[in-house]
Amino acid sequence: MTRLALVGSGPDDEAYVRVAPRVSGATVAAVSDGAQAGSGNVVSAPTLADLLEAHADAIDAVIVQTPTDERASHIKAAAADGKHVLVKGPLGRSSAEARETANACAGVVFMAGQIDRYRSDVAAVRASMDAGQMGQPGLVRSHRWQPPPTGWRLDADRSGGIFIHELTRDIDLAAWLFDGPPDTVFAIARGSDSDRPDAAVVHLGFPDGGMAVLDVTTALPQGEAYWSLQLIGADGAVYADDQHNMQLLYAGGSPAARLTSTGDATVLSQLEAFVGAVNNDADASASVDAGVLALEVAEAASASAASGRAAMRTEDGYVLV
Amino acid sequence: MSSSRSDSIFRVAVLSVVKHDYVPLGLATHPRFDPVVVADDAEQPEWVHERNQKLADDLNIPYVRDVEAALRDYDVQVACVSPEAERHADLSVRAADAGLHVVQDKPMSTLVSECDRIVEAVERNGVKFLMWNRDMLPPMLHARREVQSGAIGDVRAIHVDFYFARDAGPRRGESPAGAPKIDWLEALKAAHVDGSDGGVGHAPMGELQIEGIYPLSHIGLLTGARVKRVFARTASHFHQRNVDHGIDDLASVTLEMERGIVGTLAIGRIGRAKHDNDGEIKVRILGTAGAMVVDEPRPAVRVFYRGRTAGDSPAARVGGDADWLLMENFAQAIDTNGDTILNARVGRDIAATVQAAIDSGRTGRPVEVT
Repeated sequence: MTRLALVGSGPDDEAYVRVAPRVSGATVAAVSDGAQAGSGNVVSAPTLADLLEAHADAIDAVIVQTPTDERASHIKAAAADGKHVLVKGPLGRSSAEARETANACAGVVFMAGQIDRYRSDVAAVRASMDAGQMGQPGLVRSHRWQPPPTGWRLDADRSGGIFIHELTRDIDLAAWLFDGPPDTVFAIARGSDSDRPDAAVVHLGFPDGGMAVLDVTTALPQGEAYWSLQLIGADGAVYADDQHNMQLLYAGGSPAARLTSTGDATVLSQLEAFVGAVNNDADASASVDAGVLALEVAEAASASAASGRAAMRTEDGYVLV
Repeated sequence: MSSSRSDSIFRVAVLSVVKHDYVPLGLATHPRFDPVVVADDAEQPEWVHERNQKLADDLNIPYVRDVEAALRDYDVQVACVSPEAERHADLSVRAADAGLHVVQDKPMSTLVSECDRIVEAVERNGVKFLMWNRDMLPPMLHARREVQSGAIGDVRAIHVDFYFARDAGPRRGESPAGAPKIDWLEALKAAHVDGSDGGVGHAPMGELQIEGIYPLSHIGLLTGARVKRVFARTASHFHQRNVDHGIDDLASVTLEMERGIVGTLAIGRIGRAKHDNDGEIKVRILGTAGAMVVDEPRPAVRVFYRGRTAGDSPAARVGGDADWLLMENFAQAIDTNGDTILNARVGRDIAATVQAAIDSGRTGRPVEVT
């Protein structure tokens, strides 16, 4: 049995509680730092420190989704107590912080969340690649549009801003699909408030002519988000696009488009991967390395956007040219 | 040049038609444009004359192997220019200097300096110029209406996918070791049979040069903003002929535009197997008050039948009147001394954007559009 604690509140709290019983030997046993588990036999504490002090024997692993500026301390505290750790979102506000955190987690299963890798449509994209249908990838193109964040996510000092908080997701996907780091990074950021960009494009170059264009905005009007991912390979192409999955609702006037949800599939797949790693004492360091790389690229993108220059990967990291 | 009235018929000289006949045939969908002669220079090679003669025969009009004589003898007011890409500017400038309004096929030219020559000739002679484009397709007009109505507020960003699901000879790596370079012009001449010969000319051209004007024109239509700077990645990813000549068949471009607008473009001749239509062609627009996702190949029907081959697209565009609307726009520009939807100056700016993107792809650095 893997007894999970949700540390920090996120949009998938309820989904974790719902799907945990479907994952072999897993249950959500505890919450802290504002996480919600609904009714049930779940222990609760104001903070992770309180949880570990009072209920350390009741949990085996934690899912950390606290604000990014608090994340490193929570991860280290859990790992120091022998708890396995799954991190939702970036591993920290910087690649340096993430590396230091990873070093502190050597004795436990430490996994980067990489939630988008577990989307059903992304899984299909990856499966087509793994089946050899795509051939060498040439272009990855993604769009992720969503309404403005709320709470601590609005505060760039806490969240890391659009490059760290948002684009690490998309960068991770691109690097995963190309199976390696980009060698070139160029980015543009825009925002009505110059101190807080709410839209950015990151343009990546990969070895052998590969390329990725990642578009993120957090300025959509309140409501549902839009997402699309294309992979154009030498032998095949995949188009995943919310536009293709809309149903039409006629209720007078112009029809409304409604996206059909894939339910809890994404959270279920992610939790299966984490619990599977815990149960098998698997090495999850590849996910952490990828999480650190995403932060390195996001930092290069941020520097590119600020300077108007491209960044190239060198032995010493990304350097503006 | 004869004067025109709102109901007047424009007599058209088709000046070379070596690539496709879609421009002269599209032009002829409008009853005010009447192709009366096909003409080209006598010294052109025989394959050029054969294609010119074929269109002349199809339209039941004469073919004259002397451009100046045709312009002089057939009382024409409009030239429809569609030779190999390198001759676009030459024929357009000669037509403009003869006082003719010009409809020209893409690309405007293979050189920005030649585009400048067209702009100068068109403006000096006071004639109208229309680059053939796809901006009158129903989804683009729809998108423009929504943008102009303020449905999504002010445009902040625009993203265009323009993938042509066409093959182009052997795939990359299929040529045997030591095989000579694929001859560009001969390959395109051979591809004429199935209509996949985008980029007919002597100098090899990548997809950015061949097709870039279409998506970049969409971007201009929907933003009204010029491109100031670009960053691009280019690759020869699919086709051996592109590898042989070091030109792109896949490219991505980030555009920094006036008014702080951001654009991106993904373009490629990706191969027939990679789409069930002619290709994924999509425009995404983000505004201050909302966003739009637009499929360019709509409206369409999907047709399936026993015996359908993999090369037969099940999707067929329906409705719309893009060719007629383009020519109506051209006629109105002539009648009112107004502007065309894609004039010489805008076409030149698009060519400059394409060249900057090619340069950026080569250097790995952002490049100013000049």
